[in-house]
Amino acid sequence: MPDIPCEAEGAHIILVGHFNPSIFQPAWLAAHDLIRKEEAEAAKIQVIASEVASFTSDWLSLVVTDDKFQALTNDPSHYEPLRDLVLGIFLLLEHTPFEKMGINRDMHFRMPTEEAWHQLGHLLTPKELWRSHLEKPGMESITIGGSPKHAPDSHLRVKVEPSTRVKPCGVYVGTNQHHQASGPDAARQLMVILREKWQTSQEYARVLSENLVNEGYRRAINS
Amino acid sequence: MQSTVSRYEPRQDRSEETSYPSPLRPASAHGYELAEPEEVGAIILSEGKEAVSFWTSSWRNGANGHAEFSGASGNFTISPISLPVQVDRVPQQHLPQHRFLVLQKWEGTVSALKEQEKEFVAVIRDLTQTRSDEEATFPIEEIPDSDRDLLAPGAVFYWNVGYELNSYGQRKRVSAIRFRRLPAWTRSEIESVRRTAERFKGIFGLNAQPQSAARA
Repeated sequence: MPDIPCEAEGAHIILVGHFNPSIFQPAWLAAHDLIRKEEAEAAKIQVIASEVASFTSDWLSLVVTDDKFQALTNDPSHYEPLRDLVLGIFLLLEHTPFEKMGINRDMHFRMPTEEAWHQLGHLLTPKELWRSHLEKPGMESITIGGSPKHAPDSHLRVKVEPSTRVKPCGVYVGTNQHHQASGPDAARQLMVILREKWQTSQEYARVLSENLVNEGYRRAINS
Repeated sequence: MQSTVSRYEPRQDRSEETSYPSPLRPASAHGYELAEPEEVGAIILSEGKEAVSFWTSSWRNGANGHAEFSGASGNFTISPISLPVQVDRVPQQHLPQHRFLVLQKWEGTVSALKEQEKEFVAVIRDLTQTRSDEEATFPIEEIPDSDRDLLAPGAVFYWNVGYELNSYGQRKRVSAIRFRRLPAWTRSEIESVRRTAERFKGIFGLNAQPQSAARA
C-alpha cells in the first residue's frame, strides 16, 4: 500500500511576549542581512504600524502584534531559513521579553477515497455516542495533547480537521509544540530550544502526521 | 469527517496561544463570503478579545473588508476596511503560486574555495536521512548573486533538491542553494560563552596557572 502523499505543508514559529511591531519591516531585516535585499524589495506589506506589522515575501509571512510574533513559511525548502531568521531577529533584539514559543507544522493530505476520508474521522472520533442525538455526525475538528518522547518538557498538541486547502477528501494535521520558560533569561532559553530542537521537532511532527493518516487509511481498507 | 462552510471556531483556552489558527474555513456572514479560503491574507489575534481579523481581496461581492470574530457571541461582524491602524495595501494571499516538493535536503559547510576553478568544496549533511557526512564540490555559479558575498570557508548553506510544481501541476526539477544568514554574535552572547568556558575550565581543573608561567 503506497503512502499517502502530503500535498501542501507549512511551518511556523510563534512567540508570545511583548514586541514592538513597527520594527519588523522587510527593509530592517534586509539591512541586518537577515533576508535577501530583493526579497525585502519584493515584499508585500499589508500593515506596518505601531500596533501591528504584517507582510509577506516570496517564502515568508510575518505578522507581529504587541503580544505575538508569528513567522511562517509554506515552502518546505525554507524551514531552516525560517528558524535562522527568528534566531537572527532575536539575537539582534536580545532584550525582547517573551516566555512562550510554539514550533508548529501544518500538513495537508488527500485520502484516496471519500470512504477512507470518513473512516479516518470515525477512527479518531467514534460516532456511536452521537448517533442518538445527531443525524450524520461528522468530525469537524479534534485536538489531542501530550508530551512528545523527544522533548518531555514540552507539550505537543495535534489537531486533525478536514483540509481547506486540499479538496476533496483532504485531511489537515497541525502540530503545535509548546515550550515555556521563565525568568529574565526566558527568551534566550527559548532561542536555544529553537536552535537545538527545531530539526527534531519538525521531523517528529512529519512522522506523526504521516503515520496518523497512513494508519487511518490502512485500517479503512482493512475494515 | 465533515467540512463546515459558515463557522470559524474561536480558540477555547489560552494554552493554545502558540498554535497558529488552523486554516480558515470558508466563511460567510452578512452577505459576505470568501471566494476561496486560501485567499485569506493575514490573521491577527488580539488577546482577551478573541478576535480574528483577516483581510481578503476576493470577497464574492467584490468588497475588500475587515472581518472580526467574537468568540463570546459567536458572531461575525464584517465591515469595509476599518482597522484601527493604517492599511497600506490590501494584502494578497501568502500562499505561494508554486510549491516546492522537497526530495532531499542537505546542510553544508564550506571547507574550501577554488576560485580559479570557480568551485567550492563543502562538507554536506543529509537532513532528510541519517547518513554520514559527505564532501561535495559545487560550481560557484550555483549560488544566487545575492548570496555570493556570504561564500567563505566556514559558511553554512542549505541545498534543496526537489520539484517545483506550478499551479497547472507541471513539475520542474530544481536544485537550490541558500546561505544561512545570522547576525554576528552579540556582546552578551560572547559573554555567556565566555562564562560557560570558564565553568568548564573549572570542572576540568584548567584554571590553575601552569607552573612555568607562574614562576615567570
